[in-house]
Amino acid sequence: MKKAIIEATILVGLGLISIIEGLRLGSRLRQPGFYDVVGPDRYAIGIGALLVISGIIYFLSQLRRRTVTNEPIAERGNEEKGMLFKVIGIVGILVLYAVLMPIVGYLLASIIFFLLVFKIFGVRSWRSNIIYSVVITAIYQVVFGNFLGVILPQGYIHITIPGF
Amino acid sequence: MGSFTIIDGFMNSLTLMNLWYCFLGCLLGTFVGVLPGLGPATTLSILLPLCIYLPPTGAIIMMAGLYYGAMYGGSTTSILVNIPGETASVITMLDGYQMTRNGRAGEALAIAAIGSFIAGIFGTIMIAIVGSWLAKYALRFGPPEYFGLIFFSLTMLITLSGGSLLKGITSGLVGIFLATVGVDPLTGSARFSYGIVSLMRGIEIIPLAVGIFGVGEILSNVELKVGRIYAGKLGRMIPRGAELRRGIFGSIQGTITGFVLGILPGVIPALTAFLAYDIERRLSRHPEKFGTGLIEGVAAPEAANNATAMAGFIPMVALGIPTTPVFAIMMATLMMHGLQPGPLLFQQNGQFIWTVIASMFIGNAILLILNLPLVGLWARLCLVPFKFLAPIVLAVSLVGVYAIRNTLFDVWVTIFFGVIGFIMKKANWPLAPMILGFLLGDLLEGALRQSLSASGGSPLIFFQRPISLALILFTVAVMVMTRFMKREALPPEEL
Repeated sequence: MKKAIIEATILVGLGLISIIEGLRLGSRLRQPGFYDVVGPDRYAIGIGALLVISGIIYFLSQLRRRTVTNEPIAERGNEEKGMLFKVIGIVGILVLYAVLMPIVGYLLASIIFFLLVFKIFGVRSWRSNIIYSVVITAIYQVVFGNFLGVILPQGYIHITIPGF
Repeated sequence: MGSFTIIDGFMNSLTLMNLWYCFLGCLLGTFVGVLPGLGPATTLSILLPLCIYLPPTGAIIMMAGLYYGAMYGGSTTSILVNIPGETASVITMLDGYQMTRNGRAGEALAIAAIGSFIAGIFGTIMIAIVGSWLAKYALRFGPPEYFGLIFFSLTMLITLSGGSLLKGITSGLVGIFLATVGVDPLTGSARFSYGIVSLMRGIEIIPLAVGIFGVGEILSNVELKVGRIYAGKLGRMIPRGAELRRGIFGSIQGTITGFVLGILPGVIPALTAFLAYDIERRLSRHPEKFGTGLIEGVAAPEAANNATAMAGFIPMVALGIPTTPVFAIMMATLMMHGLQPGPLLFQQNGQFIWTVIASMFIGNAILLILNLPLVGLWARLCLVPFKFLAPIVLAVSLVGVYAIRNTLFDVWVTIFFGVIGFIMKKANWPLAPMILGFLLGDLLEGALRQSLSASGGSPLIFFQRPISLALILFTVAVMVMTRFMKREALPPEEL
């Protein structure tokens, strides 16, 4: 039931955000001569209202279902407890990657990313880890940076490698 | 438009240089399509400066090859690792990735290639025979007709909902809500930006889809302690017998759907791919098995997206109207070489047009010849230990989404929606409806607002236009029938 309350709250919350934004826009846009009958404001209010309604209906349906069956809703099985911490760790590394890229540049950020993520995925040897990280980063630089011409973040600490 | 001219076209396109341009386009297109984030429009715009140095025929031949190559290439990562190479391959993931998990990656990749080939050849024939006549039909679609089409497309939310219709519709609504973030194209007002410039640009579909499906799937696999995507003996590489028949029929359906709708300006391959999947499911004797790894669930959308890619040439060439950004870039290339797309192009530059059309036949054959032998190699990717595959896929995804707009905002979007996708999967919320809602959101809003502005606020406009009325009535009928069939199939507690 706690899960259903959280889910319904999120939906109603999103709906209210949309309605508030619609009202804010409406107060600014709805001047004489505004030609758009629906407008970005009323559209946002409409979507928001639908989200609020669906959130409430969802909550009531979960309440009814629990009352009818008196059983908790089945969850996914087979997860290993403790693997959730690994998931959180990977998300943390992804966040670190995104934070580091504009600071140290793509090359160094990618090497650090691969070092950490290979470790967390179970590549135990640091030597193998370093080799994989450097080689894969170099391949990415060649493919994306050199061949496809994608301008990758250079960062404040700019590393210049001849040929790259 | 006589057969004498198409033979000339074949003679011209079978020269060594034109064959080389065709091959290069298909190869680059397939390679680029595999990389998430770098869609055909981005890559064509990168190649545009090169085309100044190529002769006009060669430039268009190469760009065409690149475009439909990218359409096929996008399916490879969708099927193998559940990450869409480009928008049109999002729906392919539903059954394609499940086929990989069942050890049938080779068959999935092969039917994607075969379906794309069928669609490509059919599309090329249609361009040659009825090109300009079909283009005129496209001009009859105005905002009310588009609204009717989008309204019908929303019924796909029912298909994609899985067990819970309410969850599916709600997920779709969240997608529509996410599509409103950014600057409103009709009035220029910023919504949900809160003064942040990145938010004013809105959310792009690829970071959203890569996050929800790709990163979310990897995180789910980590929690489930997956060692390999598939850990058994790989099955056949090429489908045979009943499987092949079902795949080909699915491809034919997808081709027709994709082509008929693809001529309409603004109808993107992703939308027709979703529709083709939905139609295939409705026509199937076992609709409940879609999403578990059915070959027609791959064939139909793949054929549809390639057929739409082909269909888009018709308005561009016959009427001078580019239907998507990709065709706008191709038009720019033509104009750079002094050629004006439109009705006179056939009369004044017939040899050029027929050479390009003939090269499309050849290009689709090259695509099939190029990719079928590689199917076995690609399929073995799913045997790579997850501890090596996942980091590589994560990094490619993040670089790919960065490359779309050269902004780290898209990287953050991917990570954020990766976490959302993981949580939604854990909580048994369907993911595909959110993507569909997002795709349809902008189109729906534009069609609705333009129609009501034209009618002075009267919703009767949707019922006064015959095509729009027909689509709305058809939609209601389909929803009633589907709900009726679902009610009969589901136990009471699922309703």
